[in-house]
This record gives sequence, structure tokens and C-alpha cells, in this order.
Amino acid sequence: MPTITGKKINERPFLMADRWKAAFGFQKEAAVALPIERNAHAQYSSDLQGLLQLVRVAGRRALTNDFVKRWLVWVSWISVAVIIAAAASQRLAAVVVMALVALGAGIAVAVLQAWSKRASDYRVACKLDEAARLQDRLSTALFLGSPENTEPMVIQQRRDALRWLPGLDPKALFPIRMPSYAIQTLTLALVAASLLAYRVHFKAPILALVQSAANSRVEKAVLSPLVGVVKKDLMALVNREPEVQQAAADAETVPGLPDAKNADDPSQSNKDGMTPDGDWDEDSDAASTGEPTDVGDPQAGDSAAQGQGQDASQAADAPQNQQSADNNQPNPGENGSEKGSGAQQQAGEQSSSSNSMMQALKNLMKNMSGQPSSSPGESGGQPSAAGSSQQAGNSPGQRAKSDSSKDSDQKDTGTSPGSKKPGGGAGNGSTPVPKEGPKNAPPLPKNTVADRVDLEANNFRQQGRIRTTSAVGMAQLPLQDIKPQPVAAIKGAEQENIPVRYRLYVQRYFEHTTQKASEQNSGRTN
Amino acid sequence: MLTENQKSDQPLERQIESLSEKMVEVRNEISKAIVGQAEVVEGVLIALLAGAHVLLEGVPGVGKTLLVRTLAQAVSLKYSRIQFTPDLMPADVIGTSVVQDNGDGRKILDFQRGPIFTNLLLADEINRTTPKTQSALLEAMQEKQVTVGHTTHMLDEPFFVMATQNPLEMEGTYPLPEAQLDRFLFKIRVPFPGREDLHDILDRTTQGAEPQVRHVLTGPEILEMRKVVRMVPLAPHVQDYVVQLVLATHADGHANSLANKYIRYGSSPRGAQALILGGKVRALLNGRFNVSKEDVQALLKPALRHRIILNFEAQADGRAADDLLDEIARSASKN
Repeated sequence: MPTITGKKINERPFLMADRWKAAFGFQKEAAVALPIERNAHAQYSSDLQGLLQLVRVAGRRALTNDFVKRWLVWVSWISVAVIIAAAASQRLAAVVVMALVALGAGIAVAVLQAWSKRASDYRVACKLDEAARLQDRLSTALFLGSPENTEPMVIQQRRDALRWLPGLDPKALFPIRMPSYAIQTLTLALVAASLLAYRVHFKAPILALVQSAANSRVEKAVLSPLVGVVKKDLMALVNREPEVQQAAADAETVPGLPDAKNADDPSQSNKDGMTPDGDWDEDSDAASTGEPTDVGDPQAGDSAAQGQGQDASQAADAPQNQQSADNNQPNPGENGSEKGSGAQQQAGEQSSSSNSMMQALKNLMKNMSGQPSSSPGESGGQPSAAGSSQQAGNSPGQRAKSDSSKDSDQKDTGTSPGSKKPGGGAGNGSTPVPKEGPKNAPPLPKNTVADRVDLEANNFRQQGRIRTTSAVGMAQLPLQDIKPQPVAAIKGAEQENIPVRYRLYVQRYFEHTTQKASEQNSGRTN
Repeated sequence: MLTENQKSDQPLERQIESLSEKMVEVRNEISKAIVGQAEVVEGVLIALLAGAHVLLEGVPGVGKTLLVRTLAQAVSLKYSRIQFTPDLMPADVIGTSVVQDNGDGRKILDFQRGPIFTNLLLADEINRTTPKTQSALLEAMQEKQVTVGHTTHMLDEPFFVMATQNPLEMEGTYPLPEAQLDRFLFKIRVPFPGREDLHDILDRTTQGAEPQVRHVLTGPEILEMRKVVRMVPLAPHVQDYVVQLVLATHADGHANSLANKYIRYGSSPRGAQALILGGKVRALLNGRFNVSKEDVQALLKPALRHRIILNFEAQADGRAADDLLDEIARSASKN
């Protein structure tokens, strides 16, 4: 009996990427080439019964292997589906049931596919020849195995083929084994099972992630500037007429102040050292810590407040700030004559409101894209509803330079283009301001920042309780509610050798502010 | 088993056994004179039993002519040799009509047979003669007949042409035309002998007398063997494999990328016939009764290397036909 040396089929190396593809049915494993099937006989000679039995055993094993391969592809897809469903769906039971149904359906489909594409006896004999290296003896014998085929050479060939049968072991030649991508499929199945076990005790991970993201501080921090700006603008629109009237009354009742109605705004906007939207104002913080800021410029201070934590100097130096300052600040020499012009004030209010809304949206977009906010319009343009034409000359910081307060003057000139004009920033027609670095600017009281939005103190405190996380371009967390401290500010001004005139101005300013606040509170209580 | 057929196939079984024994004897006789070159000897015997012709290519001195002469001695066939030269004429190969006296004073044209009228023809250095003379072999090789004037003369069976050519000295040669090449079943390259074989050659040829080769096979036996060879069955998947191989040599959709790049024209159907016929002989020589893919693969190069025409790019890149056939065999096995 001839000796048979078995040969492994599919010896071609199978790469890892190919295995993953094969696990999902995208790539077929290296397989024996299937020959064309022609004139295959359904009836075989009785001599070939032993060969037929051997071939059919091998065929069943090949069919089993084919079924396992196909079903593992199903398992891979089902595992992926289970992973996705278990991660996203709340109905764990439905997922499990669907997975079990799909597995059962996969078995049925794989059986049908394997059975419909099963190899014929002739093809199995070809595989057997190749596996046993029988040089096509078995396949030729089977192909010529018709009972009617009694040619001498065919008989000789058949006899030669049957001589090799006893040495053939179909179990050794066609072992039932897992395909090469079984590891990949098993990995997916384990991941799916683990996720199902996790879901027994916990929520769907993707849903939990979405919910936590929705409730995150980051999102609030992103949205809070918009909410604050919109609320502020709406408040400004509602209260603009009383504000104008109040500002006019203040201008009359506070002698010595060239533009008393503007002084109202800073007192309100900086009453707590907070931005109107509840964010911590870095400028106020910087001012309190003695850092050089642009607080001498009401626009700058306000822009910092609106700018969601931007440095006041950056905000004030930005082109938009300059542009808005230019737009909203008429010739300073006209301040005294035009501040009472009601028509112009009305137009300025409307344009300022629209500008403030646009600017709020721009700031939101910039915050979303991570760009630093430069919100000059919010500072200079937006609150200038009534005082835009008066702001340049009426702001305390600008006014101070006529009283040899060089530092504040220098800040103004450095930040506001309008103040660069000869006498533009002086308000009272003072001399041009020499340029000097902002580092030399003394820390001025934050309360001098003008804000024309009349916010009520109660609302202010409520907004201040909104805590947000610190981030680049975002609003800062308010540490505490800061009330205006006129005494401390005045003392601080004394320490910095602020002229008496300015100290008086500040003192009156806070007295006016306190009085106004008490009146409002008393009015509400009444 | 097979009891109903045992009586009927006894003569065939004896024939096959006789064929195997005779072939072993022929090999032994040839090995007395030829050292090594087992593949060359096998190829020549396969071509002899398949009823086709062989082109031997090798450098001078490797035993091409000696092989043919030894084979002629072993098979006890009529043997003739033609040394092809540039001035050789077709009449020198085929024969010519000469005026002769018939004895009663009348002159008649009598056809004098040329050296082609033999059983075993050695066309030595066939590429040194002109294409006109080379073409004189075409009819003889394919139809086993020679036409002179209006008379057709049949050649004796078996008719077996073994041509040789030298691949080095190409100056003054006339490469065989494709039609002529296609007539050869195999183009067998005779390699230079190895170290051991060279020692053996020197021992045999420089000491003592030349070996005596016995006649072990006759012409009728060869013809009988050719009939047996054609009875060897062929499974359809093996035939399909042969078809794939031949189609793969053509630069079209069936060929692989290398064949498309370097082959100008692929094998003719005679290539497929050569593969199957040669496979049948090889199977019988190896004690099998069916053609296998291994037989086809073993005969792929000698059967197809002279039937594919390479383009200029292949010559420029130094690509040989054997390289392309190896690649074609690999790609066909994967399909």
C-alpha cells in the first residue's frame, strides 16, 4: 500500500488585517481552487463505493467547516450590533432578545448557505487529492466512475486509485477546525458579553455620556455669556427711557460732575465687581489686586466685563473696540452741547441696542471658536444708549486727566482712538495725553467703569451666584458677591496720591449710587 | 473487485507494463553514453512516445548529438543526420528528381529520397540554414509526408525529428520562424553538466572503449506505445488547468500582469496539446494512469517556452520565457 503524506490546505500566510476582514465576510480565506464540474456522474460503479464513502465523510467535514466559517461571520456582525445597542439603548432586555434571535437566525442562514454551496463529490475528491497528494487519482476515478465506463485504461486507473484508499484518513486530512479569524470573532463576542453584563448594573454608556455632557459646566460656561448679554440688552431696552430720565436728573442733582448721568452706569455695572451675566470680572479683580488695567476707561472696563473674562487691556485695544468707540463717541468737544439732544439720544439708543445684540452674537461665536473676545461694542457702544455721545468726555477716567491724572489719561489714550485725537479724550478740552505704557497706570476703583444698563441689585446678586468653570475665553467663577466699597476705594485713591478733585468726585459718585440704590430698594419695598 | 473487467484489460495491462519496462531499458542504455541529463532524456522519450519532435538547445559539447545518436541506437530505428549550413538547399533535405536510364534506353525522372526519409532525423544546428531550407521540414514534421512536384511521398513511421541549435553563436544564423518552432513538441535546454557528471564524462570518454548501446525498442513497439498513451484518461479539472495556463500566456484579460507586460504573443493550441500529450506519457512513465496537475506543471516550460513570443520590453528587461512561465504557473495555481 502506498504511503500517503498529508498536506495542509490553506498554508498561505493570513495577515491580521485579512483576518479582521474575513471575520466580517469581506475577505475569503485562501481556499483550494474549485475545478469546473463537467459530466459528473450521479451513478457510480460499485467498485467505487469505498471511495464514495470516504469522499462523503470528507465532504461532511468540509461542510461543517464551511458552516462554522459562515456562522462566525454572523457572530461578528451580531456582536458589533449588540455592542452598539447595549451602549446606546436603554432596553437591555430587548437587546438580549434580539441578539439571541439573530444568533438563531444566523445558524439557520449559515446552514442554508453552506448546504446550498456544498461541494459535490467530485470537488471533494479534488480536495482530497490535493490534501493527500494523490496526483488527481481519486478525482479522475470518480469522474470516470460511471458503471458504463469499462474501458481498460479507465479500469486500470480506477484500480490504481482504489489502491490508495486504505491509507486515507479523512479526519486527519479534513479536520474540523475554527477559521483563522475565530480569535477576532471571539474578541468581539466577549466585548459584547461584557457590555451586556455591565448594562445589568449600569446605564447605557453612550446615553450617560450624552446626559453628562448636557449637564456639564463647560456647556453652561459656553452658553452663559449669550444668556447674560441677551438679558442685559433686553433689560437695557426696557429701562432705557427711565434711565435717560434718571441720568438727566442725576446730572442736575450732582453739581461739580460734568456728566453725572454716566456716573450712574459705572456704579451699577461695577457694584458687585461682576459682569452682568454673573461672570467674574477680571478687571475688577485686577483692579482690586492693584494690577494695571484700563479701568480708567469706562469702555474698557465694560468691555472686559462683556468680554467673558478677557483682559481689559486686550479688549480695549482690539480694533472693534476702537471702531465702536469711534462710532459711539462723537467729537468730545460737542459733549457738553449735545448731551441734551433727545433725538440724537433716541437714535443712539436704537443703534446701540442693535449693536449690542449683534455684538453679543459675535462674542458667542468667538467663544465657541475659542477666539479671544474683544467686545468693545458691548462696552463702549452698547451702553451708550443714552450716553454714547457723552461717554467720551463724561467718563470719570477721561475727565480725570484734565486734573493731571496722567495715568488715567494715558490709559484712555492708549485704548480709545477717540481719545487720541487732540483733546478728544480730554472731555473738557484738556491737553493731549502723552502716551505711556499701561503698566504705569495706577489701579483705579473698579466702580468707575461705566455701564449704561440699569440692572437691579437683586438680579445682579442672583446672576452672580451662577458659578462657571474657568477656561480660556470663558467667564471666571465668581468667588463671592462683592459689594461696592467706596471707602476702600477712596482710601486706595489716597494712597495713590489721587487729587482731591477726583477723590471728591468718587466720593460723590458713590454717595449718589448708594442713595439711588436705597431709593430703588425703598421703592420696591413700598 | 473489478472481477468483471479483469479479463478485458489484461492485454492493456501487459502493454502498460511492457511500456514501463522498455522505457526503463532505454534509459539505461542511454545512460551508458550520456552522463546525467535525466530531464533531457525524459523529455526526449516523452516526445518520442507522444509522436512529436524535440528541439534541443545547448552550448557545444554538452552531448546533444551524442544523445540523439545513442537514442537511435537504443530504439533500433533508421537514423540520419543533416548538418545544416547556410548553403544547404531544400532538395538536400527532401530529395530531388534526377534523370536516370531505365535500362531500355529511355530516360526517366527518378526521385532520389533525401535524408529526411528516415525514422530518426538529427537536424544538427538547424538555425544555421536559411528559412527556405528550414521550411522544407514543415510538411514533414506535421503531416509526416513530403511533396515534390506533384508527388507526395509518405514518411516512414515513426518519424521523429530532433533538432539542435546553439544559443551562443548567433552570428550568421537564422532563428527559426514561429511556425517552425511550433512544430516541436518540446524545446529542451541541455544544461552544462555538473561537477560529478563532468568527472564521469571524462572517465567514460578518455578511458577504455566507447560504450556499446543495445537495441531495446523497435519502431512498431513505439507505435503501439503511442496508441496506449492516448488512452490515458484526463480529468476535466486537469484539462481546465491546461487551458488556464495556455490562455494565461496571451496578453489579454486571461493573462496576469507580468504576461500582459512582456508577452507579445502567447502559445498556440499546440501548446495545450503538448501539455496533455506529454502529461499522459509522463503519467505512464511514472506508473500512473491519469494525468495530474503535477505532470502539467513539470512539462510547462519545455512545452511552452518556445511558443510564447516576448516583446522588446521583456528583452530590454532581461526577462526570459521561463520566468514568465513560472509566474503564470503560480498565478494559475492560486485560481
